[in-house]
Amino acid sequence: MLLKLLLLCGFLLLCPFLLGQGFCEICAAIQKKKFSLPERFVSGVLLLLILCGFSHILSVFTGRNLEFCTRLFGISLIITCSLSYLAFMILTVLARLRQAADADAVPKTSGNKVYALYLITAGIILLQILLIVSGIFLDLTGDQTAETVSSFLYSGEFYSLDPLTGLPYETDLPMRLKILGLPTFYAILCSVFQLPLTLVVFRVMPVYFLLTGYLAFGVLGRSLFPDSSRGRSTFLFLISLLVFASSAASGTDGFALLHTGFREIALRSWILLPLLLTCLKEKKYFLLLLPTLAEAMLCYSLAGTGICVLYILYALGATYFSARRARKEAKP
Amino acid sequence: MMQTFTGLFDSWKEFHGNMPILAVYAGLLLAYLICPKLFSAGTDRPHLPLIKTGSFFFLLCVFPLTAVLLRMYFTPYHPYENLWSLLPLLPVIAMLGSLLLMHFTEEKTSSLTNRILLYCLTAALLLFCALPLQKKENHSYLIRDHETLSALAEDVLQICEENGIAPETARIYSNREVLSYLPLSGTGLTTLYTRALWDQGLQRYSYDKSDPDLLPLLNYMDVADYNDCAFLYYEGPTGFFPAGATLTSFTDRDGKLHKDTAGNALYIFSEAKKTGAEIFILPTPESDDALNQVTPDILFLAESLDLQWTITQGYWVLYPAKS
Repeated sequence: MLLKLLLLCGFLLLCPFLLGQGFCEICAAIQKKKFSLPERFVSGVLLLLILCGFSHILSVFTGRNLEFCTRLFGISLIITCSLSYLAFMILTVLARLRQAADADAVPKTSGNKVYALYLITAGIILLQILLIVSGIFLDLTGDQTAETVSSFLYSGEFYSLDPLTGLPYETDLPMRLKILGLPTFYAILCSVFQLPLTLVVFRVMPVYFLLTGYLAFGVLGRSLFPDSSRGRSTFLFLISLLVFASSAASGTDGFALLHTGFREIALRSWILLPLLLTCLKEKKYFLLLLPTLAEAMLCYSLAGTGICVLYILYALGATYFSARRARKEAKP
Repeated sequence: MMQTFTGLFDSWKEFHGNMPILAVYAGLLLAYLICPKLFSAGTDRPHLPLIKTGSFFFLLCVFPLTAVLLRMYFTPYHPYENLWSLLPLLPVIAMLGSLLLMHFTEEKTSSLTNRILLYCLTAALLLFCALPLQKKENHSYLIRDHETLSALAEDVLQICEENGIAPETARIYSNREVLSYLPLSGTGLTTLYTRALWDQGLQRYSYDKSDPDLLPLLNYMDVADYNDCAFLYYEGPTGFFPAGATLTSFTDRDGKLHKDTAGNALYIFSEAKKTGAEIFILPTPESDDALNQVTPDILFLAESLDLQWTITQGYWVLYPAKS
């Protein structure tokens, strides 16, 4: 069991790393922007979920089963990881050949030693991990993700059994539910690594998303406080406290994370939104694809239609109006 | 259309005042509007776009008309509170809070003690928000003991195999905890009623086929569970009655009230059997004395329903004999 768990953790760390490196390097080459390692990893996690979403949708539309989907996901993952890392290697070598002058462009920090605050934040994160792993906060209200995964694993097919009763559906399911790929991702992990569903869905994945989310917020903090390490550390410290502070009512980020960390809502507010805000602020438009696509694959039609799309529309509107105002002001 | 609109507006009214963290969010945005100097720790104000975005979406969610329109955009399959996930709640509060803290804890003007005190006060204030103002209703039933329930599901599956019962068709009647866990067990065991009966949030899965007529059966099993099976004590010539008399009446499918058979375990179990239940799983009492007292009643119940019985993982399992 422990070995399988370690293998799962290795998979969840290595694949996003390989995927994110190549993708962000391509984005960097196109947009002439810099991408930090946490940013690459978070992008890799989203790419992993998107790949699974594509495999799921393809399997559902062609009437295939979970086994086919797992193979498709596996093959596409191997190919994408290889290509991505190859692209990363080539682009890195090319960039180094071209210039080595950007070494000076590393953002300067204020020089303040803020290790104490980081240490306290790490303690709070550890406490949150323990709370999630202990399962005392687990809340299944209004959600049947885990039951759906169980029905996939038992029947080997998608949405053939009612997840709650275990009986076959009398009528066909609406497509708005069939297209969602998150239960399939969990089912693939459970079947490939032969781990209990309750361990993967209720323990491992919420902790994984929690840590990935902190990386995403770290990236956002770096973007908001580029020159102040004290600002960044305070930002992360407050985020870790806010997880508890906003856990009192359902629908808020902290509640979603601590009580239902395996659900798409937690994923959206905790990983997609901070990455999206960073992309919008840093004008990394190519990277905007990832949260938008991930939301479409995981949350669309179940947990609310297109928050990422709303943010992008807002950003477009704001840019348009500010450009118009600038033009008016420029006129004599 | 008007009814939908009114319903959405009512849910908006009900929900407000339930989230202290929103008050912090709004308060910080207002403080920025009134006194931006307090938040001027950064030099080139890289935080301004996020504040504008946060304010814009906050206003969209707060004003009833835009909130209702957003709710329509979000599709009606999930509750109103999910709308708040639209806000960049954590990023905005953390950013404004950081700027405020940085303003008050500048190294030149503030001593180390003051700085530590201020950070602690902020932490205390934020953690205070974690206290819910209202007790949450309809809280989902939590499954605590996965290991025992997993072993129970495996044992029930084995009983099915040994007695020629197809697990795909043997519908199980039990308490909430067991029935909440069985769909997660991956054994293919089917249940008589589902979580959707007591969890209204699952109604957004419009395809779920929960039979509301089964609610009395669910309530009865809850009473049994709550009273530690005391309902099974034999108290009269007509059958079994709940010791605490928590269940005082039973309404059948036709709406007819059965006072004479109130709490009658045999009657209720027979009803469950008619509805399709084939296997009954009952939690055993915790004390040995209670177990010894109740066991003859269980034997009587099993005999009356033409079932066999066994105890496994702290549960009685009543199942049909091999034909």
